[in-house]
Parts: sequence; C-alpha cells; structure tokens
Amino acid sequence: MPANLDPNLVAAAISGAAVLVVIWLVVLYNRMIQSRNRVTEAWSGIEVQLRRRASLIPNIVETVRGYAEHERGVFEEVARARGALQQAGGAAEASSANNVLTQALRQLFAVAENYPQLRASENFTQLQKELSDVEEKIAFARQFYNRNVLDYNTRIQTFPGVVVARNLGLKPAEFFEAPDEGRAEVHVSFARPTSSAVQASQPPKEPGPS
Amino acid sequence: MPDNEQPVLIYDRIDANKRRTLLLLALFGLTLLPFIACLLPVLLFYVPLTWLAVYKIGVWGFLVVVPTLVLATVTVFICLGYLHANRLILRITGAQPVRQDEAPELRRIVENLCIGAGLPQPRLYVAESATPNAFAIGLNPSRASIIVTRGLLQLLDRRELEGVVAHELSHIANYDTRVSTVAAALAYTLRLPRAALFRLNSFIGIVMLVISYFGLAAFCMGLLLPVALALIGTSEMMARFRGLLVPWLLELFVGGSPGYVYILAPKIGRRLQGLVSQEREFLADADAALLTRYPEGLARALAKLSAVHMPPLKAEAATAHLYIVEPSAATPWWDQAVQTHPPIEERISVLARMGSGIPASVLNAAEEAGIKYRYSEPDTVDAGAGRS
Repeated sequence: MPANLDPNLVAAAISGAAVLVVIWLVVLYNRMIQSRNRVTEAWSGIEVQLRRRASLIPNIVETVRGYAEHERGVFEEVARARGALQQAGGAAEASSANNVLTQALRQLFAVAENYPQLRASENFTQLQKELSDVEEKIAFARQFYNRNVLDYNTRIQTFPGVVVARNLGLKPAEFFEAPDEGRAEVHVSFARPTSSAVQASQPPKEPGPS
Repeated sequence: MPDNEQPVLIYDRIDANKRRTLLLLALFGLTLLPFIACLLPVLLFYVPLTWLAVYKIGVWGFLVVVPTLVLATVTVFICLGYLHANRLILRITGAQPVRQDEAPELRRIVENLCIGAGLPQPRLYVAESATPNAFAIGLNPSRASIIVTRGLLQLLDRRELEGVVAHELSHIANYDTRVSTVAAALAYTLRLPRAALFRLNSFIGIVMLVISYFGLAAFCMGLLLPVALALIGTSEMMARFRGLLVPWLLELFVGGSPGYVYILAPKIGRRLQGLVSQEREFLADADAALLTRYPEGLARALAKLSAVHMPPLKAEAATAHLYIVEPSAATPWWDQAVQTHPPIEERISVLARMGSGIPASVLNAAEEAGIKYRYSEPDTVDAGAGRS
C-alpha cells in the first residue's frame, strides 16, 4: 500500500463497498421473494377455478345419469378423475389430473350426444355453458400463472440470482401444462414496426434490431 | 410453448409512462401560468373592484399578490386535472355504467381476460353511439375503466371483441391509460374557452380568432418597442417610455391574452396529446395477441372498425388519442385534431405476422361487414356530427 494513502480512507472505501454489496443482495433477495409470491398468488387463481370446475361436475353427472343411467363406466371414470384432481398437490400433478378429467368429461359428453332429450334439456345446456366458461377461465389463469413461473424461474436460475437462490434453497416452480388442444402458436414481436411494412400472411419473422 | 415470449420490458414501459405523466403535468402547469395571468386584464377591465385593490396595495404590491394567487390556482388546477381526469372524460363521452343484466358476453370476456392478464376487474361503461369504438382510462389498474360504444357491441363477434378488450387491458397494465387520461383532461381544459366560444356561435368564434391574431401582432410590436427605442431612439424618448411602463405592460396583456387563450393554448394542448406515443398502439396490439393467443380476432376487429368511418361519438378532439381506432373527424376544419394513431393497415399487417398469417379474404370480409354496418345505420350518421 502506498504510504500516502490515508488508512482511514481505505477503511471507509472498503466498508462503503461492503454496504453496497449488502444492499444489492437485499434487493436481489426481495425481488426473488416478490416473484415467488406472485407465483403463489397466480396459483391460487388457478385453484379457485379448478375448484369451481370440480364443484360443477356432480351436477353434470347427475343430470346425465337421469337420462342415461346404465353408462356407469363413464360416471365412475369422471368421479375418479375428479377425486384425483381434488387430491392433487402441486402444479404438475394438478395439471395432469386436470387433463385426465378433461378426457373423462369428453367421454361423458360423447355419451350425452346419444340422448337427444338430454341435449335438449335446459339444465344440461346451462351446465355445459358454465363448464366451458370455467374451462376458459382455467386456460387464462394458466397463462398468467405460467408467465409468473417463467419470470421466477429465470430469476433464480440465471446469474447472479442463482448464487443467492442456491444458498436459500429456492426451487424452481412447476409449470401448469396445457392439454394439447390449445390455440395456435403466436409469435409476438415487440419490435418497432419498420415503415417497409411487411405484407399480410407472411411467415413469422424474428424481430430485427431496431 | 408460446409462454416464453415475455411482454418485454413491461416494467420499463410502466416507469416511462409514470415519468411521462409527471412531464405532462409540469408542462400543463407552465402552460396554465400565463393562461390565468391573462385573466388579469379581464379583471382590470370588467371588475372595478380590482382598481380599488390596485389603489390600496399599490401597483407593485398588486404584482406580488396576483402571481401568488395565480400559482395557487395553477396548483389547484393541476391537482384537479389529475384527480378528476377520469370523471371528466366519462362526462365528455356521456358513457353510462354497464348494468348487471346488460352485455353478458362483454362482461364474461373482460372477466376472463383479466384473469389471464392478472389485472383487477375494470369498470365497464357503454357510450350510446352507433359508431364502433372503444377506449380505456384510469390512473392505475385498480381504478381503471373500459368504455365501449353500443355500435362496437353490435358490430363485433366474440373473438373480435376479445381482441379489442385485450388491447384496452394492455393499455391499463402498461399505465398507458394514466398518461392518456391525464393528457385528455389537460388538453380538454386548455381547449375549453375556445370550444365554448365556438359552441356558442361559430361566427363569433371566428371573429374572436381574428381579433386574437391582431392582438398577437400588437403584442409582438409591443415587445419590439423597447428594442427599437434602444437601437434608434433618442435618450429623451427612452425617458418618456420609462414613464409609460405600466400602460406598456397593460398593452402587452391586453394584446397577448386573447391570442394566448384562443390560439396558443389549444395548440399546446394538442402537443401535449402528441406526447402520447403512437408506438403504444403497436405495443398494445402485441400484448393483446399474446393474451388472446389469437391475433386474427383483433386484426378483424380493426379491419371492421376502419371500414365503418362514421362520425364518432360525442367526440372531442381532446379525447381522440384514447380510442382504439382514430375517431374520424366530426370536427369542423378549423378545429381538426392532430393524427393520433398509426395507420390501421400497418397495425393489421404487424398482427398478421404474429400468427400464421391472415388470409386476405378474411380481412376483406371483415371490411365488407364494416361497410355494410355503416349503411345499415343511416339514422345515426348525423347524430354525432357537429354537436359535441
């Protein structure tokens, strides 16, 4: 150390740097926790809709049973899938249970197709409408949840966050996978459109640097 | 999985919008200062008591008291403009809240998209106009409102309505609505005297404009007077001018104030609207495509809306930048708004690039539907024009 450096000054600089590092760590940590809380909140949004869906199902089954009592196999399958969904913990498990339930319901409605009186029943169409509304809500809630999961996972898996996250034992969150019927893929570009506007119905392009 | 296309930099956009709002309010304050100072000559001429005040506290005392009052008034105006922007715009457009039993499809779409965007439910309003259009206002997402016209609900199908609502929700999430709501309220305030005059009688309005221009010329000449005296005048003339300082200030006020109130301030109001960027429409379109996963819906809606071209709503030039598509001009030639939106064809082509492309036949069909709608509503064509 050169003799003309004031040791007090050096000490002050070092402690200042240490304070900055601590502040930086605190900010990093807070962002991670905030992000994790967002994931939790988004998950509760999905859960509400899943619960609504599960609570609709007994009514639907009862209605169908009134017209098609002997289709016992389908009813049992729906009941089993519903039970599995209610038991499911965690996003991955719940999403697969939800997809199984969707399959079972599809069968149920395929059965219902064979009973014109049932299809004409006002109660049944009303329930069907409610169910499709809930399913749409689940799809949107899933979208919001997955976006938050992506944000959180990116935060805790990229440097420098990964160092802090590993020490704190933060684990990546699970995505809520969609059944394979979703809407078409969308390539959104947030780049500023250039004046040489591309004509409609061209294949999607990567956003260029603008 | 398409979920990995983040709406990039949404936090940056929110911050930029908050900064822009502050800038708007500051500029508004600056604009308002002379605006209110210009009331001074009016006071002097029409309220005899003012002379008494001048007599009591002296000219220089008066010149201290008045700016203080002006500053206080400006501050109050800024706060009012910020806090009451929402209500003001709702009143301008005459929109009514959607009742519980009304427009179930719209309510359901809004509910679902809010779940997808993670936003609180905005309040919904319908403006009784056959011209299809929509906009969103609100200082923050928890106190936001979406306004649609009756015509929008009639013209659009479910998927198209979904695209429009998603576009508006994106404006809310980005805090675009904060900037645009404040800009609309401020522009409206600055244009108020002129608009009121023209609504009273457009002949009087034009006469007043001519007077204002003459006043501005007098103001400029008044400003040049001391310069001219300093350059070519004798010292005797300078001394005489010093004795006439107060009449000279009065001349500046009297000459400049109508020009400022009726010509400059409305122009500045329009420039304030210009601070609301056109780029935000592209961003909101992209967000909407991301949220609905169906760019075609919004593209079809835009094609329909652009084909209608009906006189809009109770359109005030001050609110033009709010709408999803630019309201076509129902205002007379001396009161035209600046262009507030990018061309719709460009927006549609950008949307088409996002999905797997949109066949031209689909867009043509949408446009034809729009044109057909326009001619099926002949009684409404005149309804909004002129009266605003």
